[in-house]
Amino acid sequence: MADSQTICGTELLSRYFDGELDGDDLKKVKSHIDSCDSCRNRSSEYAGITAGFDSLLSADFIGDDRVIEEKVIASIRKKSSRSAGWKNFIFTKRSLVPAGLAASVMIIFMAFFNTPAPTGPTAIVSSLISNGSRVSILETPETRQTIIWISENG
Amino acid sequence: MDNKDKKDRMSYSRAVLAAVFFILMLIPSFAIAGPGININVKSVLASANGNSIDPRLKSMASELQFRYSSYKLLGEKSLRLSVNNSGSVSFPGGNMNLTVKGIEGNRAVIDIEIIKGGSRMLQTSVKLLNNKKITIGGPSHKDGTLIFNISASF
Repeated sequence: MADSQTICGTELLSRYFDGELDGDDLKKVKSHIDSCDSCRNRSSEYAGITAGFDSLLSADFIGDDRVIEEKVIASIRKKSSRSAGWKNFIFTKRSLVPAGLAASVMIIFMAFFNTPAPTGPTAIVSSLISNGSRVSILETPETRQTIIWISENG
Repeated sequence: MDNKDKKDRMSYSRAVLAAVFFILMLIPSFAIAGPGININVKSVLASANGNSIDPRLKSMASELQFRYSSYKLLGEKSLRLSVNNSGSVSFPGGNMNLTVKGIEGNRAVIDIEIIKGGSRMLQTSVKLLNNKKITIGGPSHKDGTLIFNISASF
């Protein structure tokens, strides 16, 4: 059982302010506060501080909760959009596979079947026999087209 | 499977089909039709009389730069000849025989024989570049000169 001095000495009072007392101790401290100006004043101060702190704390937590919630939602959305983007990317890449294949075939085709621009005449005359006519072999200046010209009058 | 997955798969299938189509387009015609060379012969009557140039011969006339003012297309014939096969092109007063001897690199080896008035006027063997032309001219006809513009593609 606490006496008056113990009550004024803060331990019980502190426990009272913290809401840790019950039963006889609680009754005793309450009746002591009613009769002790010093403790009543301290009680008022504690009550004010606690109320202010509680209100501050609760406001902060509410704010934090909302912020956290919003952040979590945003993060989930971002993650899911990233996932969708990645999925699209994969499908795009998959679409690029046949395109790449076609491009490869085209490159191979170009390498094997496409001939470079001619540097010589369009035709090389390997042999030529004429029946008494004079024959000239010419070449056009720009396109280098081969011309075989037969002069019938000799 | 959701609609998006279905769409993605459909677009992928379309891409594959497009690639296959594209690859098939690249297969050269000779690979499908078998070995052979397409030969085109234009028989032209060139003359210094008149100023009429057949629109189909304008590019040929400007390329050859002959001193003729008139070019008339007497006939045009396309032949598809396999190796050691011959074809013939008729012209006024004679005919031209063409025999494909083979392909050497990017050139077709073609034997050409020009027969006029029942006698062989010219016999030659040329190595003609793919998609290029050779011109053989000189035989007289009426008031002009016969010109044969020969191209080969394979």
